[in-house]
Amino acid sequence: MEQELKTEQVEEKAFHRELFPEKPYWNPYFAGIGLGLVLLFAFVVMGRGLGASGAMSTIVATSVAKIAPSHASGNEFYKNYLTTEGNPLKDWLVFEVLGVLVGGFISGLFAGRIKVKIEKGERISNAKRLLFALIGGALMGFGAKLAGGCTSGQALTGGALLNLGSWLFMLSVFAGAYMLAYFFRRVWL
Amino acid sequence: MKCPYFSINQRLGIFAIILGIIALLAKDPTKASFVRVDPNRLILESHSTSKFIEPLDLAEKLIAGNEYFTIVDLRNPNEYEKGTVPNAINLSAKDLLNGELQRNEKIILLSDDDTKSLNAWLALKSLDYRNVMILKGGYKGWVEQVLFPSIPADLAEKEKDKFEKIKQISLHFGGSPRLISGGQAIEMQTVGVQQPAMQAPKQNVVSPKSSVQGKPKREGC
Amino acid sequence: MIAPFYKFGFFGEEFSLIIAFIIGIGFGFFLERAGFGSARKLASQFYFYDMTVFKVMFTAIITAMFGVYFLGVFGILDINLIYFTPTYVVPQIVGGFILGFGFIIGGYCPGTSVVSTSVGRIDGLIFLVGVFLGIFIYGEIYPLISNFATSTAMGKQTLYGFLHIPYGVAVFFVTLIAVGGFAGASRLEKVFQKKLFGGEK
Repeated sequence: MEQELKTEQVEEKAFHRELFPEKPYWNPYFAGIGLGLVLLFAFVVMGRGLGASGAMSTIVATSVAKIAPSHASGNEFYKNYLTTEGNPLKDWLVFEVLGVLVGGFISGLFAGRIKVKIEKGERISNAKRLLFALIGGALMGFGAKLAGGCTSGQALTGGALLNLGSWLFMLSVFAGAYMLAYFFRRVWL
Repeated sequence: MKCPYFSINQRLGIFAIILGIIALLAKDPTKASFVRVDPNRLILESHSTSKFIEPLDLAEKLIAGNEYFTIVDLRNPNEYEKGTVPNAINLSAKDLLNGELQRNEKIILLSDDDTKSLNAWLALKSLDYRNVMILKGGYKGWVEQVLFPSIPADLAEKEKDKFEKIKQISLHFGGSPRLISGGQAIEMQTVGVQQPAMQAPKQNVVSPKSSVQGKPKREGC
Repeated sequence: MIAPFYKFGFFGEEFSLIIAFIIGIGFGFFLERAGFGSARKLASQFYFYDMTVFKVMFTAIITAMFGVYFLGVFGILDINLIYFTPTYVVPQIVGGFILGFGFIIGGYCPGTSVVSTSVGRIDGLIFLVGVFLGIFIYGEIYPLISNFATSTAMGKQTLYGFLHIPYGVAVFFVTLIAVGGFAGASRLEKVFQKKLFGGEK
């Protein structure tokens, strides 16, 4: 069994090691301050906070509208993310998430951390890991919409503004994750 | 400041706690105690007439429906119930500054005459509300110029268009224009009897289109 | 008060989209710098041996919290003009738990899954696909659960409003909790690193 798991390792392609040697992660407090300043910038310039799940909702709603327009416009949830004029993808969060993609890449590039691989613990197979990623993502998407935001939007933004609901949400997220941590230890440890 | 006894993380922590203590003693930021408004600018603005909007202009804006603004009726609730400008909300002077109105909103104030409105205007402007206007003549002006405008019976050719527009506006809001012939105004019925007609305008409310300038867009996560 | 700039009309919608992109770059950059492109690092929070998630999140929260508070006190930022998510108690708690489950099962959250995809992680990409799926499912069954999703609404509620304490007092206590939490987290890390791996990980 051990043999199978080891040979299943996806090749780690680190193509730019010569140019950008791999560096350790930043001091978490500095990264946190940087993140906080970005959030503050959003508050001061735009009067709103960050987000991620909203952009994904817009993409889902737009896709549904393309395939089944009447169904989408009749649905209370999708309606929120569609507009009657202009391109619904010209949305603040969509552009922001595109920026996240670029920003993450830039940081990873300069720190030599661009690797095509699958993050997982040693005691689980790739296939299972990807399955869990899909399930985890689905739960995330569902829960985020029920709660009205994800960790970036609600926890960070609402947390900084001392929003009651956001703090309750944040505590629930940590509680939920800790609750199941023991049962999923094989995935990670 | 090289301090050998504290690591960088500990120093950050101490800095955070110091900021926290300052916050403990500082004022409430939502009450805006430190808003600075230039008194000179305020005096100049209080003398200018550009803060007034004529009832007919407001009526045209409402019909066009492509601007987003908040109309605030400062009169007491009984009078508000009896009849008011379409889309108007009712706020007393006391409630005016309770946070319902935002600093960047376009606000149009109206009252019985302009005195109440002017005082409210000054209060809002002194707290740095950006866009505050007053409906000239208040509700009385609205009634007299929009709902029941006087239209001369014999008109010169070039005046006909202007008064036709006024007539259309009046009908749009459920009013009835009154014709004046040879200086004699045909008596119009009293305000009391017009009640049903004046309730109707509230239903024909013109709602701003979704792409309207300044209309809040979805800002959630 | 001159901020938030967008809400006082300093620039229009088109430019705000460019700002969105720039903010996103900063967001993604610092997320990756912290190591949140890696599911293992994110998940390690829940096994106590690496509390980076807690440290980064709460540092970001108190940094922005101080910024908003002090800029408000100095009359530069109009706090009332910042968008405030309305509170729906039960949906947010239930949604939060579901999110927590998704976090430990999948190893990411929506924002970090984007970062992870950008640095080449296949599992991050699959997670992102899962998020779309989850949102789609939610959208489809929304008519059935819309009443639940909008229940227990409290509107705009703040910690300090709810507890009837001044804003500054709340800031102070949150700071104490955060800094205390950081100290405790570092200690927990040492204990669990020893327990799980017999030393530094």
